[in-house]
Amino acid sequence: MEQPLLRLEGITKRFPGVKALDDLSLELRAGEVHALLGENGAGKSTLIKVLYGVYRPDAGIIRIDGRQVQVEDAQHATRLGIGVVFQELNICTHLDVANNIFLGRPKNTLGVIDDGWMRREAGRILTDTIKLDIDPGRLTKHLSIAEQQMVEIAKVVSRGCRIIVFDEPTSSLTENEIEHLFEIILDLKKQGVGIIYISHRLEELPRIADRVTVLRDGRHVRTMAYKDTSNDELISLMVGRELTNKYPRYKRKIGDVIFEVKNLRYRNRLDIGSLAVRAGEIVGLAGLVGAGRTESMRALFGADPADAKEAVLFGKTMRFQTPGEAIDEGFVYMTENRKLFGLCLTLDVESNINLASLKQLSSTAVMNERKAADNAESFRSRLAIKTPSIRTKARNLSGGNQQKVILAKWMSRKAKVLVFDEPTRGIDVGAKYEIYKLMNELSDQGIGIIMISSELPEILGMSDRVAVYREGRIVAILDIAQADSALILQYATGVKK
Amino acid sequence: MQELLAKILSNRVLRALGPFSILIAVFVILLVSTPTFRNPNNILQVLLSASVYVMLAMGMTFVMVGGCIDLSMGSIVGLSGGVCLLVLRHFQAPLWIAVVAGVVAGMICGAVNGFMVTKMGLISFIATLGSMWIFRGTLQVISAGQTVTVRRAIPKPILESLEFLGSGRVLGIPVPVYIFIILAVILSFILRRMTFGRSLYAVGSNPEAARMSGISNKWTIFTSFVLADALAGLAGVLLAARMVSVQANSGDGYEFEGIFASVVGGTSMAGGEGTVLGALVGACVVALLRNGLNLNGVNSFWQRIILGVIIVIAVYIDTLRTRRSREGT
Repeated sequence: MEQPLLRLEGITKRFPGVKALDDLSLELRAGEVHALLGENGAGKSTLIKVLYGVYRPDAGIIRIDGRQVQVEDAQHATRLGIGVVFQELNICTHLDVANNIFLGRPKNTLGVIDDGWMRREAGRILTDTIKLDIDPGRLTKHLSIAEQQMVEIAKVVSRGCRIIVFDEPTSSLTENEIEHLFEIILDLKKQGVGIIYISHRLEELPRIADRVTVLRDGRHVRTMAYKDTSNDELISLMVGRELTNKYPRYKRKIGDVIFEVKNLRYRNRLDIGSLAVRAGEIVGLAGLVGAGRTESMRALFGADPADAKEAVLFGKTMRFQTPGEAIDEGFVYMTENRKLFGLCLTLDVESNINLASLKQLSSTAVMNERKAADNAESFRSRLAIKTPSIRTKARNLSGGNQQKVILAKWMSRKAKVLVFDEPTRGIDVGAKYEIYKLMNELSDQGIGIIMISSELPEILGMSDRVAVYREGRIVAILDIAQADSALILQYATGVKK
Repeated sequence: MQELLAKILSNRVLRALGPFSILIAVFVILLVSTPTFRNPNNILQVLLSASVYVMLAMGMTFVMVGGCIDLSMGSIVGLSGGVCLLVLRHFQAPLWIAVVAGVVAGMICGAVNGFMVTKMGLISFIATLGSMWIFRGTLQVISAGQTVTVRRAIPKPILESLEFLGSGRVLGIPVPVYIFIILAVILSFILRRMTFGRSLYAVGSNPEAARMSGISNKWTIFTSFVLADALAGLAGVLLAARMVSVQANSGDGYEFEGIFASVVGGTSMAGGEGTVLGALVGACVVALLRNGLNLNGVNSFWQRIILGVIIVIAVYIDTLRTRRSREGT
């Protein structure tokens, strides 16, 4: 029998208090796309880091072409032919494309860099491997996220890697860009490269996956050919139970209009005429990445500038200058990127939960510690936040629990209108379901909810109405009964006007 | 090796004890190795010199928790000491007015620093590098480059009360020690128990998250500079009271002691971490080290090298610790 390209045998990796990988075995063949699935915390990231030499496994063997190897560090991994395209790209944005591709091994003579050669060579690599016409002399910071990712892929491919890991490569790409990425992956596959593909988006798998492996709690659950399974089965394997309904259906009691965005403009990027939210209603904001959904909400919240804006809350017209003003009036925006905007990772859970309520939990600027702890504890049990204690630092929590901490932060301020920006990005199926249930609970209290989401099923599953954005404008507001993914996409892409 | 070291350092018990264990270790080593150190008078002397460092360290900790740094503190020590003595000499003012004048001078310096960082949007490192020269120059201008002294220039009772403030003793313990202990309690309360302290940690830990949570980052950072430099001002006043004079280069380089003490006391260079108690302990470590090196006849050139090496090690340890806790999920 032919040797598998890569073989992991009984890999175990312990961290203080957790076994991140537990006797895990995996096999990757040349020329296959092997999808790796699992909830957050299932061990996917740890596995990649072990493979890439970031962590040393406590036990287990890695074999490449049947030969046992010990990966010392990232450079050694590259020499062994292992490449990783990380979710958070390793691009030096102030360097040009060519220098990024040859990062760490620039062409030089006695230390003098030969830019001309690198640009020619980079141009060739770009057209050959990723079929993309980018000027190799351009600074990468002027490229779109998708283009930066392509450069990263070109970098990995140009190093002759035979094992390439893609970690959530599509999370910030548009539909067209995803299509292009898949073409590249299929091309690599034809050349005999073995590909490990990690994604939360099951709907992508039919297009590329040959085999899938499901991990749970650091253990290997099952490996099978993709054609022999279904997404429903995969989900139940991932969560270890049957999930009949991804979205808790709920009969909402919708009241009068409590909030309206009016006349929101910023340069030529935003021009929103009007968007109303009723009590207990969830309004989904759909659109392509960069259509202005996040930008419009941030501007309204007072976090970013706007040329004109009006927020009408319970009949009162307001223009929030700072987030503080907006929060005080009960308009709350939950940021999309948890680590960047939402959480103070070095602080404990209690501090994070109470971060927006310091005034409420203090008298004359002195914190009421008892009240603060009680508040944190009550949200911990109410939202079932999994943490050893409220004194645990936020960075030690899993993605889903971090999201709940942020939710708790806003819920403790008794918001009247809540904006959720990509509330479930990067968190696992089980935690998603709990977040949806919470949103329903909030709407039950008469809170108006605006939900920005790039996942159409989520928009369709949760919203009462859908506002579709395109190029900074709302091009359609659809009732959920008449909305479907095709229609939304037609509006979002400008096919229908 | 690096990994093992990092593992030991991330141990929670050790982290809590960290600054204390260093303090105790230095203390015990000096007790054993240096007979002159054991003299009770010497130990009081150490406490006296520590009192200036403690003020600076506590101030620096506030600024560093907010994610900034203040290089101008040494200059502020000189300037506010100078202001204090000049007010005494020129106006024959009562002591308390001179003390307030010195502290207010520090606060104004802090407001200047805060303005540059929050309103002008400068990086604190560069802003305070500039103000370090501005404040030093100001002292030299107002003192005409001369040593400011008040001996024989002010009434005797005022001079005596000045000396009492700087080096007088109550129950055998120097007055500045009482001052720093009281201040440490108050500042610890501000940092841990008041909304301002909570906000400061949040701003230092993740400015964007703090802002989106309705915290006014600018106000918080501005206040931290005013508070910190008021402390530097008080340190300058105490130093001036002890010396009964202020030289044109007085306090020069004291920002080093402040940063040293904060870092040894567990304050993170990355912001969002640090305690008043740590700063206090760190400042005592600096004072002990300086004293021990002096007693053992190590000249000041070598002292610089040794303290420099120690701060590099301390920052290295901090770096290892943060790197490790960032990776370990």
